[in-house]
Amino acid sequence: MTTAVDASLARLLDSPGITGVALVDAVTGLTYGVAGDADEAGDGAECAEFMALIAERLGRAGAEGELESVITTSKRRHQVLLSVGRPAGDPLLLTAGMDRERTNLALATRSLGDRAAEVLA
Amino acid sequence: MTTAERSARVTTAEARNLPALLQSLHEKDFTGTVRISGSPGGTIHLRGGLIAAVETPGAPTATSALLTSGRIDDETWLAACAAQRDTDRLGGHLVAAGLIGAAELEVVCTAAVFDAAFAMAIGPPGGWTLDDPEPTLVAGAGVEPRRLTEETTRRITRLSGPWGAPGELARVRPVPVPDAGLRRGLSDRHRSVLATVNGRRTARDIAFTLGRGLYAVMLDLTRLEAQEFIRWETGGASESRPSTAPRVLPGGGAPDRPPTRTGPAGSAATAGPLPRRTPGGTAWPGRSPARESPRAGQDPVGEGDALPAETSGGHGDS
Repeated sequence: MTTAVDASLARLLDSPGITGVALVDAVTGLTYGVAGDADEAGDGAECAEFMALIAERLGRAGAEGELESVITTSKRRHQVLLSVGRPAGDPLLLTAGMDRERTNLALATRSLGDRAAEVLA
Repeated sequence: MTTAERSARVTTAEARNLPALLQSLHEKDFTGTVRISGSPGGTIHLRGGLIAAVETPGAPTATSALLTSGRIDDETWLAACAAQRDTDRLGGHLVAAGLIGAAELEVVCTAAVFDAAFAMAIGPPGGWTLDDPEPTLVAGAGVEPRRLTEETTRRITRLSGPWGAPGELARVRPVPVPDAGLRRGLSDRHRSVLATVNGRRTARDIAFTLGRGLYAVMLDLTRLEAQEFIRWETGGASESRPSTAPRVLPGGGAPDRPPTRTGPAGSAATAGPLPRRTPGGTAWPGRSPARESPRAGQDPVGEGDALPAETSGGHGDS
């Protein structure tokens, strides 16, 4: 059954190279919706823990401000974890798997960031 | 009595625990309400076998999250409620009126379902009764019981640590470390939690104060403690004090009375002595004797697990 979140996420699959995308609670790790290949989008709880760990370490090192994104690149794919702000409530994560051969990482990441707000519309 | 009601009665009598009951009701496309007794207890709203909403005194509801956070202000909310008196359809009205996006409302309601389930699961298990549908704020299709059970189990595992089970952590009243607020490297969210920590509030109190989920607040507290921004209170409040008053089902007896079909936890509850006040006793369960010798009536690890599959639950006297 398609939910409003799933429908919003499905539109992000239009971007070239994005194979799976999920909307995840950045604090609890709960996955609210997935479009495309769920495995490519990544496990929500693991993504949230990973992001929290990096933010904590950066904070200890003296970094100021909120962590915006984490990009992990392997031989064949990129995984992008993008923080999505909300008008109120805990932050969300947009997690996306990308085919490295078909993706211009800079453009895809920027596109995701630009369209992230649309997901909650 | 309708076929569905007879079917539900059979289901609730056969179910060995709450997850099994919800799964069985899911397979029967049940629409109605499951009332859970105990502390904190709560109400589970099912629509077509899916869990549409869960309400418990142990965690903020979706409505509370929307209003406390200021996402929708009180006046606007009251106007919306006046315009759409059917609470089940209120969510659709909020979206149609442009007060919130459909996906965002779905996120808020889904988060509240999982959080309430977690809050109930960390309390002592109680009995259940089935009832007719009741109006509640819903968005989206609802959650499958199996997914809810798995996620609740994951959360309980995640928050089981040196302090013991999550139910014990929920009773702790953390205190801020001096000058913690002046230190750098803290996110705005953590800073807002830190601002509410005062040695008197439990995680539940903080969750209600901020309009955030109980599990999310408890996670943040563990992270703040790990970074030495706060410390767990030792001494003061009695460790046996429940964070919410026990909920008694209509027509029921004592909230923690053993269920009709008694499981291991229920058996232990009958054997335990009444709790005693311990002046000056430690409130931090990780350092209290209770860890080595759990109080009677409490499961030392999966304490009060209304939802996790491995637990025995209440009874089915609908």
